[in-house]
Amino acid sequence: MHGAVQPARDFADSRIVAAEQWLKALLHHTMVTALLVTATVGVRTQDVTFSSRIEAVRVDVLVTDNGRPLRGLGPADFEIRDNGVLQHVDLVSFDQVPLNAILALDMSDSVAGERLDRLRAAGSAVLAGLQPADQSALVTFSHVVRLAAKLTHDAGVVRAALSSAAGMGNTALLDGTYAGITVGATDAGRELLIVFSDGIDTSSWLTADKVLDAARRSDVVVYAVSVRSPTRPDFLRDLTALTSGRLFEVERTENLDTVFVSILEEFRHRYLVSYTPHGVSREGWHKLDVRVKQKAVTRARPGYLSAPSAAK
Amino acid sequence: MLSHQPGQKDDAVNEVAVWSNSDLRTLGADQRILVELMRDPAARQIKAAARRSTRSSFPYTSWQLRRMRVLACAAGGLLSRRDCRDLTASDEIDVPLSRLAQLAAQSEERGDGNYVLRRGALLHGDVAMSTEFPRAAEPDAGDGQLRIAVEDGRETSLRVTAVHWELARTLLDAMRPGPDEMVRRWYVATSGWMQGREQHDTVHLRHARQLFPDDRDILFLSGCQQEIYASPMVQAVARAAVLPAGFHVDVPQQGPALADAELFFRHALDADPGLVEGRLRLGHVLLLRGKVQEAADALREAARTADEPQLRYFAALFLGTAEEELGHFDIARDLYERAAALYPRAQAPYVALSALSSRRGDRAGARNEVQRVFELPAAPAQRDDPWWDYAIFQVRNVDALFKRLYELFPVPEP
Repeated sequence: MHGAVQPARDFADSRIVAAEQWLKALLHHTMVTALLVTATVGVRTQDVTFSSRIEAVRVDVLVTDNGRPLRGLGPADFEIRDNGVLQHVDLVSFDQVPLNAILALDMSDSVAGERLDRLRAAGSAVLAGLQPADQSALVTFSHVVRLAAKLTHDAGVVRAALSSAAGMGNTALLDGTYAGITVGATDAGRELLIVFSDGIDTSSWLTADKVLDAARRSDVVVYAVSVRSPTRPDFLRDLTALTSGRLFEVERTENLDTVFVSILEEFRHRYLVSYTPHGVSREGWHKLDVRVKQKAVTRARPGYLSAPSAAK
Repeated sequence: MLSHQPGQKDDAVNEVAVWSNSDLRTLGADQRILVELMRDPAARQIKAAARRSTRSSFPYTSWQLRRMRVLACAAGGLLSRRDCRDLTASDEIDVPLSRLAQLAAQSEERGDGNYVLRRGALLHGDVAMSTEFPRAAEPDAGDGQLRIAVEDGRETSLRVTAVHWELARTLLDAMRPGPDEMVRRWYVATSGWMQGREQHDTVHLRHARQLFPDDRDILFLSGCQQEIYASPMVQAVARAAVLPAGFHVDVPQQGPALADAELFFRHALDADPGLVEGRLRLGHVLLLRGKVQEAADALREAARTADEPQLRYFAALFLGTAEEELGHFDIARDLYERAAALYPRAQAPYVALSALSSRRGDRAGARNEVQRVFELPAAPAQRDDPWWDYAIFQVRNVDALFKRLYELFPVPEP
């Protein structure tokens, strides 16, 4: 075959043509880097004193009988053990203490269009269910955490902030939830935090452990609504369990307003039980066991974390 | 398609980019045979073809094989060799191939018989980098790779990747006498590009480490990759991925990923004890592994030697966390404040300060500190938190990495 000269341009065998084309593609004349993309991108001694103030412990308790809230219970009906020590219940209130209803809503890239509309409608439904004495606030989070509306008795302000909130960016679920916990932690009112997220955390500074630690130190009850996905909402599950709230995993967001309203209704049917701890050390984790004398199911936080308050 | 300029998305890239994976695999087989023939155009037995023939018949007719020998003569710059003269190879190639043969011969005269291999790897790398996301050339994954696309922490698609990176690596593997500085720079630059685009590829860096086991840059990027793999977001996506039978996500569990990251960063620091960012990231990984005292030691050193503001910021935040874990709350507070001073429009330091107050039982303090977050500009564009880019910060110099790579390729005579 040595004599079978055939010009390359007439060579049409597809088995070889790719290799030949590839070889020709290697030719070059200049070097340019246009393709490249730049990536976006004295030790002091501790000086702490501890206050000796004894604070009452408040525990939100849901009591149900066959799934229905049990009403009309008084202090004598509750049995609370703090680290195994039976406590004297000072006060029980039901639907009397105003709420601090905090909405902490995911406004990342994934919440847009119809889903955003439904989220706004769900938030508005909660605001519509508040009493005049209640307060509300709106925290939004993408990678940016914002207080879109501070704690106020004027639900209209929060509703307006909600209607102008828009989705953009990554998700700082942990930082946003932490902000929600902190915003509502006032001495007045009962703190209800409703967290909505449809994704997993991508940009928080805080770890889940730190947010859970903050929740253990607060009186907040967290309800969370998560859009079901292959990734498990472990953090929200842990947080809601720790604060005796509940996690709703929804397939779709069509009925988001119904879910949000049911959260408010359930929260209103909870008792706020308070006692002044005795017979237990003040610091550290306090395991709680809350029961009622009636045949009923109780749901309360599994415990709380008490730390000495620091003053300089 | 007559030319490709490295680093450019030119016609050559566009043409090769549309080839299917099936075509590319055929090309890969051809390339292996071509490389073998470049070493010996008259070779009677071709090992690469023999390997391939275990699955199918020998790929070429005798005429095709002769043509491959001619192409090998051109690609190897061997037209003046007796074997190639016997083939009358120079008479059977067109102008572009003659030009290629000339360039390859010039390279050979300089003692480098790998011209085509280098150029080929650059081309395939550029094709891989030219597409926004690896395209699914065909639905059948075959024995290739799948890539999980993640957006805002959610899996959005599962795609078959084109095999350009694999082809590029194979070409560089064929270099004689072995991988050199150009190959090293190529792996560093391309791995950096992948990390900057968050297109993580375990195989690429694993292969780089096999070739350059003690290289500072490759070990550093390997550590960064494992550090990213250990992040909750990557772990959640990797564990939840639903894959076709026979596939698995090449991402280790968090614990092993962090252990590997520590190992790689330590080796990188063995190679270059002055690698500040390596020490910083080692400290971060040690912190995540619960080795708090070791982490604090590494982070103090990093904080002392860091000169870039972002590195000082990360060092202050991480060291603050370490000091907090050690119970040194006041020191931690000072460090978080230092981070806030470096980046006053950053969110992380104030969140950290608030959580620290909460931890100390200071609820009012926690509220006050989180209020500082809320007082930051509302518009995301006006916030400035390097933490949000920590996962890609290590490749901020990727342009320079490619520039260093291309410095090795002098512009040829026209």
